Amino acid sequence: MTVVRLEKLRKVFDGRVVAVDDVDLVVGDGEVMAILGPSGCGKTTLLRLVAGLEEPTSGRIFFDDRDVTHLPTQERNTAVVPQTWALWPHMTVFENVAYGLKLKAKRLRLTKAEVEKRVKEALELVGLSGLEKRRPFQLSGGQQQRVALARALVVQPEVLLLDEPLANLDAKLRVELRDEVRKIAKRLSITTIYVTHDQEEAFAVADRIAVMNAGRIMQVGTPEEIYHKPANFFVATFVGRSNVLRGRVIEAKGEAVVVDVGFPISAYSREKAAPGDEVSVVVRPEDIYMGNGSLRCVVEDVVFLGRHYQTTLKCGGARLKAEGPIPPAARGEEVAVEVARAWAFKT
Amino acid sequence: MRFLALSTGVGYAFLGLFLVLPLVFIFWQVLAGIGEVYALITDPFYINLSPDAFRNAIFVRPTDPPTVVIRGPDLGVVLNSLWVAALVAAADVALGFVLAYVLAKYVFRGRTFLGLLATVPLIVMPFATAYVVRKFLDPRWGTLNWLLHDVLGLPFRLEISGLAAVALVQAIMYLPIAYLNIYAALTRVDPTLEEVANNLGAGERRAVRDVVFPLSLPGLAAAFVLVFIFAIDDVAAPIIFQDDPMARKLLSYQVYSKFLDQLRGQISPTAAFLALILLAISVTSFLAVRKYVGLRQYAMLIRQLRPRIYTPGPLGKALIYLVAFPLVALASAPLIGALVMVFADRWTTSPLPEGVSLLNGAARLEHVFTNPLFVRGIYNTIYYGVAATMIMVAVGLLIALAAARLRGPLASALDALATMPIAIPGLVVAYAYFLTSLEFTTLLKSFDPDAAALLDPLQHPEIYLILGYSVRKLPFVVRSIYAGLQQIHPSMEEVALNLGDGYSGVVRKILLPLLKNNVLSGALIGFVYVTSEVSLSITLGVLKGVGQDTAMPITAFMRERYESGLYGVQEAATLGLILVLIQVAAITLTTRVLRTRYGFVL
Repeated sequence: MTVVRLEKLRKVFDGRVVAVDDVDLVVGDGEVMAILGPSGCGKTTLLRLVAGLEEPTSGRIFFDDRDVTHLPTQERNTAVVPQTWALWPHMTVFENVAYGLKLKAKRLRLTKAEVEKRVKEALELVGLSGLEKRRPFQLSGGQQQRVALARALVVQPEVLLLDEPLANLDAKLRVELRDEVRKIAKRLSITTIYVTHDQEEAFAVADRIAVMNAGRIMQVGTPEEIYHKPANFFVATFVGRSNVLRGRVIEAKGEAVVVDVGFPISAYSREKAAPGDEVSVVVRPEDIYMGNGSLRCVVEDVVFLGRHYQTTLKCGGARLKAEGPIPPAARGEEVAVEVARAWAFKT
Repeated sequence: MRFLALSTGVGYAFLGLFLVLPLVFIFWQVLAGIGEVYALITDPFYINLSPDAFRNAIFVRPTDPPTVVIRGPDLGVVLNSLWVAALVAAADVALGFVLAYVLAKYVFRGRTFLGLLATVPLIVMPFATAYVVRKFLDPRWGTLNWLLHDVLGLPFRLEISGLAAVALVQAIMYLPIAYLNIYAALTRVDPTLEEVANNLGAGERRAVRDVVFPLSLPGLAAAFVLVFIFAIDDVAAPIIFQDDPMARKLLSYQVYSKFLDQLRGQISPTAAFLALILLAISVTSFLAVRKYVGLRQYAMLIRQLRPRIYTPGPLGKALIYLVAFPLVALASAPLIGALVMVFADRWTTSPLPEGVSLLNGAARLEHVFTNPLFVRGIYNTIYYGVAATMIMVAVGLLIALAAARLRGPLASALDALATMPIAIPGLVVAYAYFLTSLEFTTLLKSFDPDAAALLDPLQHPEIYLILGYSVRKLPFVVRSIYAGLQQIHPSMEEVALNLGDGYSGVVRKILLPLLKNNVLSGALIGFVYVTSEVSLSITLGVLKGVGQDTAMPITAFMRERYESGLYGVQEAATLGLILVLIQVAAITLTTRVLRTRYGFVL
């Protein structure tokens, strides 16, 4: 069982492109950690550094207390599932899955029968029994993904590294498989790093999430913490939907501030903004309630989105989008509005 | 889609008339003289499986110091061609793999330089480079023996002659073809496939053995067959070593020499039969590899990832510095030697060229440009190149369109037929053209003497040269345009058609602007191959002889000069220099301006 610890990890390509920028991160034993961020933010590079597929420019990587920074990928006992799955097209499903195990057979003193047994178990675990003799191109996308997962799991890695493993699948299959991946990782209690740009996937799979941007980790926390207590403007706007209003602080008391955004609005400011500071106020659409409250807004538009209505409101000079039940006022009419929660970030 | 149907028609008409028909005519010749052909099969000159065949393969001649003579076994014309070409292909694939692997997989000092040097032998300087190899191997005054005996002090001399010498020259000439194809195959393997193997515990050698090698096998097979076909078709190397009768015992040389006999009026079914064997071997091996490569072409997800690169270990370092660098140096030495020859006073009885000076080079170039015959040769080469390229682009565009946009057996058969000329020996094309046109004009004479005179191959060989060049090098143009068409989504054409344009308008206004680079690079590659072509040039090219209105291109003059004695070789090299300059200009344009790779990929 393994704790992964990254210390000031940095990777610079060609001496100028900083892909990973002094990252500190601890992934607990048996924990599923999602690395969430926009494309190009360095999350895949971070995963490749942990796998040993890239050499860091500086910083250290520990598995428990062992420094593995300069250990070649072959000796790290990690298992990668790349975005393309990288199944070897010239090998059968069995050969694909057995490959890593055969390489380790001597060291682990495994007989041929034991290798076969373990491969069979791994395929059972991912629900692919009976397809051993097929070639990768004879399988559906979902099946290929499962083979890649089985190939990684069969070697009983200390750390499982998944790089957008579901990105090439259709939406429905993605939902099914992400639950399965979490179930398997938890059942085997393998320390797992799961890279994705899809926040719903990250929320569904992970115990904790590290939000990344431009090579840096912006916040680490449980899905609830990330969603309800965003540490900075990037996390607040990248995760979930949000209204962004620009304004000036008119009153401040500890973390509580009042900001003039065309109308006065109460918000939390972790950065302790002072009166006069320019800030961006972030409001989630579901935190805007209509029918009560001191704020007077005009309903501009109402759209039915299935699970809820999206109402566009004009409040003072600002425009807000609210999500919830059908508004108690028709288009063009005035409505009382309450903003239940907002965050202010210095700009 | 009438336009596409018309394109298919034009493609079939062009290839049918100028490729299939003349080749079928050879069959007819063989059938006409089946008796002579039977005698040939039983003649040990052609197939010799007696133990005698190996008697003179390697022996020691009792000179002082003793000379180790390597000539290779003489299994008769047909089997000699096979073993020489197979040996050359095997050696080039093995060496090309080492070279490609080192360049694709390792980071080391001088990598760019090595890569550049490795492609140098792609620049063709026929006869002149082969002469340099002959000079290098020369048992009395050669560089090799000077190194072995005079410099290193070894107590023997080495003589590589006959078929062994032909094989050596060909192996050097065709190494870059093998290297480029294998390099392309190695870099096409998705690096994540290898990374996952590494990650699961496979070291460099294991991952290469289990993943990279099996996945690049189609590329290796393609390289093998291309080199095999080029080697079996090659006539320049046997001509260089023709002083040794054994070097003449190759199919290509026999077809070539019988072609010359026929000019003197001896039409022989034997030549036709030999040409047919040559054709059958090349085409069969080509079709086999096409099928194999087609079967093994795995669909791979190619992402823009950095290729998997290793830091070389001790074995890797040995491969780089003890194999790759010397190999590339050896392979580019003939071209460098040939260029030096232009500037040398002479290179006859000394191990290295004597009296190298710029003045010599200037004098030789001046001599070439003041000789109206040579100027005519240069003019011919450029004229043929431009004319054949224009035909290739026009026909190639139509064929590529039909192959890329029409489905069905007719379109794919056209595609296969258009690729086929890669596998058809130039000598066979030359021979077929000569026989067919001679027969045709004889028939025509009684109906329309003027037209017959116009089409007479002995009076106007340039018609057949241009057609022959354009058929032979057509595959490169078709492939280049076809590759471009695959990048263009058919919906772009559909939108234009939907808005009311006709297909010819779509081709002109939508496709051609988008395909500009592919057409240009295809045309340039085609042009380079036409200008450096040997087989047609030294056969059809000499039909009119050497006169003020000669039809000979530069390569034919090079061969003529090469045969005319000591100083002729240096003149041939000077002509070769001009040829090299034409090629370098076109290749530079292809790689720099159009940013496309120059090479052969099946």
